[in-house]
Amino acid sequence: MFARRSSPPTALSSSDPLQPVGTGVELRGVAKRFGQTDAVAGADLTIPAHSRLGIVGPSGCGKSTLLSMICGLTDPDAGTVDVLGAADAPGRLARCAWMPQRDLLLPWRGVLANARIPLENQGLSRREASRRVQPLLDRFGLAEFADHRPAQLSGGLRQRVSFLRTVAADKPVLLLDEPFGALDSITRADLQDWLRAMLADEPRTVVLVTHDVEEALLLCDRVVVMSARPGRIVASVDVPPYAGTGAAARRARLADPDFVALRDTVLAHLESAR
Amino acid sequence: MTATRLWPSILVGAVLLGTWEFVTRVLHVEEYILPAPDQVATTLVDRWDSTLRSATWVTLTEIVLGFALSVAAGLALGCALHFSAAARRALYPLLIGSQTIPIVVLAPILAIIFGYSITPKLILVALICFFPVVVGTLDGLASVDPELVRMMRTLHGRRVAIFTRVEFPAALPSVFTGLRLAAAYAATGAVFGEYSGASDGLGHVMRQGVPQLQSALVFAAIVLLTAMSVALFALVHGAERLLVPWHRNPTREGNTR
Repeated sequence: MFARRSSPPTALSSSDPLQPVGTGVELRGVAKRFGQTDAVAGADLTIPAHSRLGIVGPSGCGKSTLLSMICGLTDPDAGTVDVLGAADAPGRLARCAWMPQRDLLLPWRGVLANARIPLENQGLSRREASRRVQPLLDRFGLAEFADHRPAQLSGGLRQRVSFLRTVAADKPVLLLDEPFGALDSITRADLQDWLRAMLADEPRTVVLVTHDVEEALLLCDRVVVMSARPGRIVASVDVPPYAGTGAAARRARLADPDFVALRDTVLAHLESAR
Repeated sequence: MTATRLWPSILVGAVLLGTWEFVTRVLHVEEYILPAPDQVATTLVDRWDSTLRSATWVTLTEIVLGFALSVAAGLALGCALHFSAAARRALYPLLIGSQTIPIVVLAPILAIIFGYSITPKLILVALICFFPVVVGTLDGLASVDPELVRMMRTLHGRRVAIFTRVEFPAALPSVFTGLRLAAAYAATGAVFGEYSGASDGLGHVMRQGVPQLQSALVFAAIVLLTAMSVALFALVHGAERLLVPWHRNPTREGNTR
């Protein structure tokens, strides 16, 4: 369904002073309160550059708050967050792209115009921004929808446009907050395969927040479990990589006894974390 | 607005006019008490060259200029208040207070200060019209989805970029609600201004016509005034359809940009 890319991953400029210098994202004793409730209490995490971390946890455990703090939209009340050497909020904001569960596409802009927003924001003309985003559009299988308004697209397509826009921001760290949570299971499986292929081609430091354990295990190379509020990291599971791409490889992976055992481990951690 | 959608209101209007005509004829109502529609129409034609044309032109100028002034001032003030919480706290109560000043009282005072010129009329039209524009703009900007703003911040969006690319377009439907209200009020402001002192204009014609019992002329002026208001309203409506097509009916069109 999704065309695999064969061209090199240089759709956008790669002369980037923000490229990782070894360490990726590091959280030390991070805590956040909202009024009387502790959203996150003492979270420690190390995410090496170019690795993919999945965060699973019961709903309302502060996963999204954690992402907001990593990307610099919020500051922690205690502890430090370091993203590729930047500990201040503006520095983290410059290094992180954030993709929320809702697609948040602008209804008055077409697909291409939505996707080029990060480039327009950096001062490029509309024309230049369109020219640079066009190859990404082709790669993401969205070229034929370039002029469609978001309202004319299916949920899966909208989410792909949203991801494309996140990628077009060209940040070294991608924070995905339940990116496929609102989709039906078939579309979600398609997009998981597609995202996995994208990330294999163009490695980034990825933090994926999800309530779907399978999704986390399929897409990430480490999965941590957060406890119910106040959120703490209570378990960490390394996930060995698997070969192949596409639906067949995914189904084989899901049937793999090692994978099943891994999933049971994470689910057990989740249940005790409630 | 298609012809089919206008049919019901045309029908109701025709029935009302017919009843009016019928009642005034059957009951032999004097023209100076209530002129029949056909008498109003005749007066409209007969007095057009001598009186109504120049009066219409004067009032139209006041309405259009005053409306344009209020839109410019309202948008500017709405955006300024959005950007500065201090300005909002300082000016918003005064803004609401300004709307409690009775226009009827203000109009003669302005006429004393500025005389028979166009200035007091423009001030009155602008004063009536700009409030809905400010409130529409401010409300629209305040109710923008905060997640959209957060999203823009992670996509290299700075304050100005967020305003021009997200906040202002998202506020447009609300701005247009304010503009529609302003368009409906504009004529009232012009007439109030002319009532308090003018040498020409439809309000002036009415003020002269009532004591002279020229009721048909007064009604003719009302017809012209209504036509102008409807035209201004239609203009705003057309601009809204052009600028905010995604709001009313996002899936109606095919491949639009």
